[in-house]
Amino acid sequence: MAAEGSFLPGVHIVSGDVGSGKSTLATALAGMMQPAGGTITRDGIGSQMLSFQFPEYHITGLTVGEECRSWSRDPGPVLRECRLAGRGGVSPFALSRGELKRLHLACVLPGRYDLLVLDEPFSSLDVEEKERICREISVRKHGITIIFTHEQAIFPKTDFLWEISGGNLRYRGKVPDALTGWEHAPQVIKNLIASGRCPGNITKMDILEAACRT
Amino acid sequence: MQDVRLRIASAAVLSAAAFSGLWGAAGAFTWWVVMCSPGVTRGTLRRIAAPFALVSVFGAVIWFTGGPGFSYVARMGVILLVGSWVYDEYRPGEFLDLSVWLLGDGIGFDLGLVAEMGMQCLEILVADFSRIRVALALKGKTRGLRALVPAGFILIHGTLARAGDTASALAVRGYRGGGTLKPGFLTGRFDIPGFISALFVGILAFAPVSEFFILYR
Amino acid sequence: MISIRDLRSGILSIEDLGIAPGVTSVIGANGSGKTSLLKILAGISNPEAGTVLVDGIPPRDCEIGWLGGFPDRNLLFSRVTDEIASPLRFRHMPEGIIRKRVRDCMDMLGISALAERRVQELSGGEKVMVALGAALIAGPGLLILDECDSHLDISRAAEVERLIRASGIRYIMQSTQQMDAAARSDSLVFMENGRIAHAGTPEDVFGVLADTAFYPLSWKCRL
Repeated sequence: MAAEGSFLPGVHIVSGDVGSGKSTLATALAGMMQPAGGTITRDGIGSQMLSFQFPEYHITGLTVGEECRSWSRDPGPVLRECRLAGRGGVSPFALSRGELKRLHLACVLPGRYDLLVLDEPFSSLDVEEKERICREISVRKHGITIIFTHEQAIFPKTDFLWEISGGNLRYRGKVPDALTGWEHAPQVIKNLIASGRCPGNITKMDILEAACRT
Repeated sequence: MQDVRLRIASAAVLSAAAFSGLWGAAGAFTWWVVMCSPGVTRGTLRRIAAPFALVSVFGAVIWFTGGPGFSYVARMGVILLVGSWVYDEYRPGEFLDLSVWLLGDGIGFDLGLVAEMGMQCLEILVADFSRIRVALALKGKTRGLRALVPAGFILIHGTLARAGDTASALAVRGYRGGGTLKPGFLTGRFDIPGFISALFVGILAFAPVSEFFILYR
Repeated sequence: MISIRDLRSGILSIEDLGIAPGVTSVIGANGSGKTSLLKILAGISNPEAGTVLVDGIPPRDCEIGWLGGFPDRNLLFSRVTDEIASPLRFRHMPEGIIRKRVRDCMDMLGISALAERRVQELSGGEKVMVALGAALIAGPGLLILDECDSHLDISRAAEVERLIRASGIRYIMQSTQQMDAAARSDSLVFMENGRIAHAGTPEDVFGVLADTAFYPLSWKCRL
């Protein structure tokens, strides 16, 4: 994987196939791995967090409640938010992967990190949960959020688009200008652009607004 | 050594020779230096560092209690080098080929399949462990039991979950026991000489050489 | 017809469901029972009560192709050819026939170049193609894919969709969270709390789900 570019404050989407090197790059960007060559410079990054595709990698608590506390979160509101109220005493390993992912994201997303790297945050989530997570990400105002995903349809409000193809990380640009060159764009966006109705962003509402234009 | 049959046979003979005594270990180490050391990487040395440290601890205990601690460490160290060589030379599917060649397409195939699944599992565990370490470090758990215990739980849980998925895959693919396979082997130019020299080391380690020289005088 | 009668298993409670030949998508929230249903159809699990028949035959007596969640983490063999050949090897078929069918299968999937590769060196998308090869090689009458499109990018997912449609397999059942892909199915099943809430054509089912997150975005944009 070869990469060159700058990640400015805002929400970045990096799209690409599963196993194209996204997780490795995510780990390097979060400062948890040295690249084989070149440098990664972190300017003004006082705090950072990396969320892996498999939420079980992050488990340190023996119970769900303990797991929340390990992220410095009050279990009550977190469990209510992810529909796990009353299950604070169960082992995190007793949750399904979807439930564990909800719990993990509910603990991570409220954090005010200067750099938040999310590796496949939509993996294991159903469409309703994906939309809810997108709404949460869309309102992040602080710092740099980099989302590595092969998601095909549901996206948060995004500032910058990147793609991994042919072993290279390619910067496509600021949204919406980047949409025309986006190889991994959902077909509905490609169709809208072809008909001269480029959406203002890649959220569901923006796509619907563009579709309604005459 | 490309031919896994000769490689495993050489490793077995050399390990037995090394275990038998210091002379056998010296012979096996010499063989390793000549045949394998050009291919040694930092990865190889890192891989045997932890087991060698463990062996050294046992050796120290043996020494302090009046036993042959140095001999133990030397012999086990050579066995670790031979084992690491076998691991480095591993090519995908070899254990399956070897097992079927040795034991047939019934029990041989089953054992080879277990070995294959084991190698796959090992690769996933290594990749998972490196990610788990990163995830735990992000939570401030970098060393000692605070990192090892949760990592252990996560790896065990993941392995058990994958075992269920593997069982499903085997069942749906119609596994009932055994399978057809025509094993294939590549024998390199230096494989047979390498094996013969390993045999020679083994013979020297176990044959009563001193008595042979007495007879010859 | 795949017929399901009085099925009870865990949270599943399905009185009567018939699935016609073609591509059927099973959709629903996490925990609605999609994977449980698919595992029973694949013969992996046995129901606690009720009958499941595929053209009158129990699933365990049928040829089934299965692609579970995270197929790239559940490959059995280190060599690509061994993985794809595995269903035929397990059936003790002659080696010559196995080699030919593996070659044909890899040609069909466009992965012949991967033949000598080590499975762990492949990209995630390539691993899914290998797993698909293993699922297709025995010529199943029923192919089941459990959210495997959620591990593929758009172009790879489209390729898999094209391949499975071209395979000519009589029944294809897939669970998916990609509603645009579900909209292209021949029939649709929407599950809720272990029950079939709606079943029918995509038009029928999505018509009822018009105000939910499940309604396909591409349809909302059809104005």
